[in-house]
Amino acid sequence: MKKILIIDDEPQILLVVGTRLKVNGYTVVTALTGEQGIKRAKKELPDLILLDHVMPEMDGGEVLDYLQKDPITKHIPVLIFTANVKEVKVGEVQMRGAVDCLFKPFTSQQLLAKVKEVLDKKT
Amino acid sequence: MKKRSRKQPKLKKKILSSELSLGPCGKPFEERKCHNFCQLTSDMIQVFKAEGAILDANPAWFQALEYSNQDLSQLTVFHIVHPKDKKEAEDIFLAVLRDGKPRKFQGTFVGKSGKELKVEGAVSRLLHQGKPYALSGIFHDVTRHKHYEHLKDEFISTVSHELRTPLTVVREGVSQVRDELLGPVPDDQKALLDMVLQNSDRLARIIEELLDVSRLEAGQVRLHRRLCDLAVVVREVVENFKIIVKRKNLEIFTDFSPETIEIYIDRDKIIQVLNHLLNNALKFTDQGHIKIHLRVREGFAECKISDTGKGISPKDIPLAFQKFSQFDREVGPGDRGTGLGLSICKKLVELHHGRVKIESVPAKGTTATFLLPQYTHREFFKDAIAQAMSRCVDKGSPLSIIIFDILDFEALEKKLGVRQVERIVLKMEKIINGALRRVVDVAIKDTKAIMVLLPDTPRESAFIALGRISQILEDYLIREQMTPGVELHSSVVCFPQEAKTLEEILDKIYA
Repeated sequence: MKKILIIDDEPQILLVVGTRLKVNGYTVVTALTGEQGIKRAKKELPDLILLDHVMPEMDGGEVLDYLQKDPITKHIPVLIFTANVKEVKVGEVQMRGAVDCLFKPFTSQQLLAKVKEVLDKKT
Repeated sequence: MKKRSRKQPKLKKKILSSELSLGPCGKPFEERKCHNFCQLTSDMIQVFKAEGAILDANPAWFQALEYSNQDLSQLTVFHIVHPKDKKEAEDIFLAVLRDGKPRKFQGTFVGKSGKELKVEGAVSRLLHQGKPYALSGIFHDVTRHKHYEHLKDEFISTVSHELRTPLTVVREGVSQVRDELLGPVPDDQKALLDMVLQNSDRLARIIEELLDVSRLEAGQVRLHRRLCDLAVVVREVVENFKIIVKRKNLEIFTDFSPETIEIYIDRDKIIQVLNHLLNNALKFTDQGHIKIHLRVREGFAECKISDTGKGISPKDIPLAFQKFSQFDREVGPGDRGTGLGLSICKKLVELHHGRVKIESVPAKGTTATFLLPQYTHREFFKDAIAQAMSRCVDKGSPLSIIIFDILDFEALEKKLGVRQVERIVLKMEKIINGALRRVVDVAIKDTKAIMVLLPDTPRESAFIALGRISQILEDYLIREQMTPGVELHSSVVCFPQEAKTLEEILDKIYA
């Protein structure tokens, strides 16, 4: 069973996205802050990380840089999800090491398709 | 200078009276009235020489720019125009002086204290004894207006972003209940939940389109143009509509002449336009067909989408491109639009320097047409550099341009044939575009050269990219057994380090 770590400062997002992924056969681990997310990523070594871009204290970009630098986590694909269409550009995020972007609001079909696509590519 | 200012008034009076002396009915105004107009208007009026010397100005000008009469002799118009607008202003002044046609000017003026004013206005030529003598400019202070416009854009943008996260939670939460992830749901409740989902999708669409409009209006949308075949793009879009067309028992006919239309466009933006126009055609057509014509005429690619739908009444056609305008809505359920789509289409086509129009006969059908200019490679390249430059000026970053020249081009054409060489250059352009890592980077071919625009890239980094691309091109040429044969010479031009204006860049490239 593939393990997915979701990092988002909105607990309700963690709940709804987490539920959808669990029902579709994934193991879900969550984190409410960037710092907590990095710790979880190192400990759980998930197959995929879903990372919110706009978070207080440590934002998605910083978390991404940290994960990319750390040899333990740098192989884990990161999918950025964000509400910030204006600031976040897919190309730029990809240059920093993320595999792709998912813009809020997304449907469950879009979420599951993107997750499957990234995990299939990884294997 | 003082001598001149003592002499000037008589002449000035003559100038102003000769230019402003006729009213709309052709009868002369009294000179005093004209003078009063200049004195009392809140618009800034200045009389100046094209090379800069300011001859006279009205009280509103002195008040807005905080200068006094004594300052005038030491001032030139280029002390007033913000340095970033200087080049454009110079071009406008010289053009007006040359042909006498009044021209609009939009830019920033700087007052004595350094205060910046956003102005809009027009510059026209003044004649003295039948000869061009000076220029007059009438400018309106739009600083406050621009500020409010900016606030409005920021507001829409912030609100749109803030709505996205809660909307995700609502949509996904309802969707999970509807999909019975939390337990069985009776059919009547499912119908209600479907309605909630449809409406949250509509809200998402409105947010999306509001954001599009606000970004387009704020000039924040930049095109990423590439050479594509418009016919292929249209075919792809039509393919995606096949299911809806079948469901509605309609037909789509296409008529492309020529079959291939190579054009520099932002593919995604034109797909957005096509999607919207086709969606509209399908929404308002219950029987008959939809026809798509592609033609090339007078330097434009023309795309015409006609339907046999219910049409738009003539009084509504002028409203079609206005924001939030929706007409002939039917009572009852159905796909609701947002009233923003057509205004987005218009703006996207205009960003490509194109035009869009709607024609319609009620009960017969509607035809939406858009025209996109088919630039020559050089025109497109010039436009692309200008866009990349403005992006870099905004960010205060450098722009590097790599140039790959094909050596002994004419000899090569003789040896391999014009078609074959054209094919090779096109292929190399495609290879480079495929190898570029950022969305903002672009490779554009001219006849004998390929230019690669790298915004936000200093000269040193451009050389790293140059090394990488050269290797890829060499591999291609070896693979195609064209070495020796096609020889490339590469160089880098960096803005603003080596060339400060568009003309200087072009001079360096085509030197």
